[in-house]
Amino acid sequence: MNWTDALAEVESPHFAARINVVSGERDFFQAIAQNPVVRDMYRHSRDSGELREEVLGRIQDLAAADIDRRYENPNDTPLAVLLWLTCRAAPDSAQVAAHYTARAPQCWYARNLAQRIIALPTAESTNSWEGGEGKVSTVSILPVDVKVKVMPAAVTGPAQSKIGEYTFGVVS
Amino acid sequence: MVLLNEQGKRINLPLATSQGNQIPNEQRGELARGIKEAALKGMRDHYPEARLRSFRSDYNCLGMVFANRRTWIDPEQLELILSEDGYRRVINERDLQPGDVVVYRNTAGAAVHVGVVDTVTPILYPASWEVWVLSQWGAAGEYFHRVDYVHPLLGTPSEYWTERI
Repeated sequence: MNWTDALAEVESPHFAARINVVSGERDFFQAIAQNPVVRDMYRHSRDSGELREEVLGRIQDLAAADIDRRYENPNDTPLAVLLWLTCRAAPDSAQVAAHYTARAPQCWYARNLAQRIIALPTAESTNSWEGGEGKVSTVSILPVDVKVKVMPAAVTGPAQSKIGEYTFGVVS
Repeated sequence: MVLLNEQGKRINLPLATSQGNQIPNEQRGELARGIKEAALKGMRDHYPEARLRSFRSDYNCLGMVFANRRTWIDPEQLELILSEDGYRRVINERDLQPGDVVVYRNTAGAAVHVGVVDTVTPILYPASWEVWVLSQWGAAGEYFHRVDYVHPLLGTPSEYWTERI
């Protein structure tokens, strides 16, 4: 599926309806990881900096969208998908994306993932800095192959997004 | 107000096992109208034999079975509840009674869904038991359905449990 169609698909009500039959966070993110549309999006965004920027733009737009406060945020599922994609394809932007996602009101899965990413310990606070390799932390609700690396900004270079002194990257 | 237990899990309602250990849980909002309509259409199209009982999103399957439809309980809490609320396995389907609990697991063996046994009917050909259950499908409504007639994301029926004497 091409990028435009895939993005429209994950933002559609029927996509959210299908994924929301699961009962837990682990199952939700496993369902996302195994979904063929999301897999296509990962392949596209992994190879294109322009698409990775588009993902961040969509996160910003969806998180800021007006919603009917009587209900859950209809953008919860697409926000969770796009944040998860960012963790996989643009890990250096994961913290920034998580902060934007956390601003979206009345989310469920997206909020929980964002809070887990934001709460990742820094290398300094955990005293686990190991030379140039950084500390590997796992966001436990993600599929098992996703780990987040915490490293000093000095190692990662100026082109990457920074939160304080540290950036975050997926290592596998 | 959101409380956290010692493991940092959310506790919206004061819910505990019969042995007194807290059960993490969180109350979720209702799905937006467009998603709810899409969920109902998807069920009609793909699971026509499942019979809708009600459609609310503020509880999940464990919340339906163990918390009177008041909250979400993550399936990772299931083992705690079964072990501390006096549940025991029911090995044979012929011994099932309405109200017993069916546990669904994924291919990795993790519990992903639960339901309550509604009816157990003997079938002559082939000699077997037809079990119907009532279960809440994530945020997408509560349904009567054959025990094995569920969305693939809800796993497969793996075992039955009861707290009957």
